[in-house]
Amino acid sequence: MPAAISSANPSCFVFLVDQSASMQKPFGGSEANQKKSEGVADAINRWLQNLIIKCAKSEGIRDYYYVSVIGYGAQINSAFKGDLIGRRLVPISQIANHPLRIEKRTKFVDDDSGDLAEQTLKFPVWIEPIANGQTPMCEAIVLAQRILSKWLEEHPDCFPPIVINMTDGAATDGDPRIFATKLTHLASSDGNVLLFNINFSSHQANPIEFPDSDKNLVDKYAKQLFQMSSLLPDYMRKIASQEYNIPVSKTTRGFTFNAEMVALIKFLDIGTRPSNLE
Amino acid sequence: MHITAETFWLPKQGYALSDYEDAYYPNSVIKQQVNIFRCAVADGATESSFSGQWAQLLVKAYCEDKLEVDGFNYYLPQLQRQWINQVTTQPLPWYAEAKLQQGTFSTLVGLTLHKQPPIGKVLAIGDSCLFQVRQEKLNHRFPLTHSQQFNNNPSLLSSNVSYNKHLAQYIYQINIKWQPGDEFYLMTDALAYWFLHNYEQHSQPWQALRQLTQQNFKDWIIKLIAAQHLSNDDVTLMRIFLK
Repeated sequence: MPAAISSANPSCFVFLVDQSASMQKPFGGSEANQKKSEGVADAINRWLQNLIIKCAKSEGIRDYYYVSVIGYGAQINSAFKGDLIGRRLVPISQIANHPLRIEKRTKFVDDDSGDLAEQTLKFPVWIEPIANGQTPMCEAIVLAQRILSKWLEEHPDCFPPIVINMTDGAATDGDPRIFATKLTHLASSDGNVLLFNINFSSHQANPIEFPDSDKNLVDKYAKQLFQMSSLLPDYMRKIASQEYNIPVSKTTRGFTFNAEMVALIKFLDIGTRPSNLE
Repeated sequence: MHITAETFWLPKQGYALSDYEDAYYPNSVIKQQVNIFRCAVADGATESSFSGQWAQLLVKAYCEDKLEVDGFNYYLPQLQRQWINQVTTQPLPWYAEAKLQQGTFSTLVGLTLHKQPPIGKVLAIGDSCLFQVRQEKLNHRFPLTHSQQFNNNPSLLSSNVSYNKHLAQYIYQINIKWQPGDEFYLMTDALAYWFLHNYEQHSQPWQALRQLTQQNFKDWIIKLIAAQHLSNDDVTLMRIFLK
């Protein structure tokens, strides 16, 4: 029986966020002239928001996850500011209760008559866009390895932790694949640490989600990130294909190109998910 | 028609009683002669919030004869408003508001029995199940019939009307007959899976259920979970003996 995620047996997410100077360039996946640093900040904030909502229960937030957000650029350290400044591993309930601010954003949704209606949504912000310095991705992966080694000593039977690296791909301190291999050799009794990569590129190319080969990836950094991404484990492949009709195979990797991968949250299994909640 | 009905329940191991999100009705032991008997069990979905309150509204409404297949369109919006009123009495943090917009979800299995003629019906949405046992044989298993049919992704009854658009496709009802000596067992998914799995192994799982008392139920569940025969979930069992 696989390890169940519960507040008594939590799991762990580590987000690695590229905050190097190259992230100042425009993001190819945005129609709104957004910089890559803004695209990444939006993505990580949306990830945190969705993880929190997934863990929200009547009594508050259940600490199913502990979360680390490491920024790498001119510095390599926790990207949290405000009340959480400097914290490297934070229970999800504390993240929920300490956003930097809550913005109001609008989106267009289908109303009952089939027209588009404007809807105002609360958008909590924890991470600000930063673009400064080199891209020490290898060092960031080593820091993730250090955080997770300690976590796994304390939680040897946890649901395997997940590391999500958001970057434009060009490491300046070596070949990240070597360090990625070491990271993904870490394991709990339930399986190996997973490393997924989200590639924010300046190329005006269509988004690619969960590919099973690198043949449609245009640049060498995208290919490199694809190669160092973990294969989707069985439980994720099952939920992706059976519940969301996402085409996956045994060689599908946790990689997206110019797409936020927030759909992956739906593949996390913490109990009954109504099939009519799409 | 003499009914003896008793319910056994427990939250997930490691969780507080207040974290229990199943529901059942009637909520006391019944030992009496009746002309009509209604009972129901529901299982609020783990991934939604305030699902326990929703499950409670549903079982009570079923037992008040408000949730027959024909009455859904009339009563469901009332229950949905009632749930919103219950859960929004105080200002909520941003994440609770966001979660409420999704609504909440629950299964429901309800049984109605009539004295004369000795007939009844069962209504079910989701994977909470009813089993009817007669003379040591399993007469009805409903709505799921095999242990392989359980997954973590059932279609459920939502407090959000937009998620009930296809309700007709996953609401099931059957008519049944009863006779003195029959036993009915209503239960939520973890125990229903155990029941069907054991039945498929040619055992008679109702024999264990028949022996349960309020004193030995918790130990029995803990042993099943420790032996990995039962998943660690909220458990609810309603046991009905007919004379």
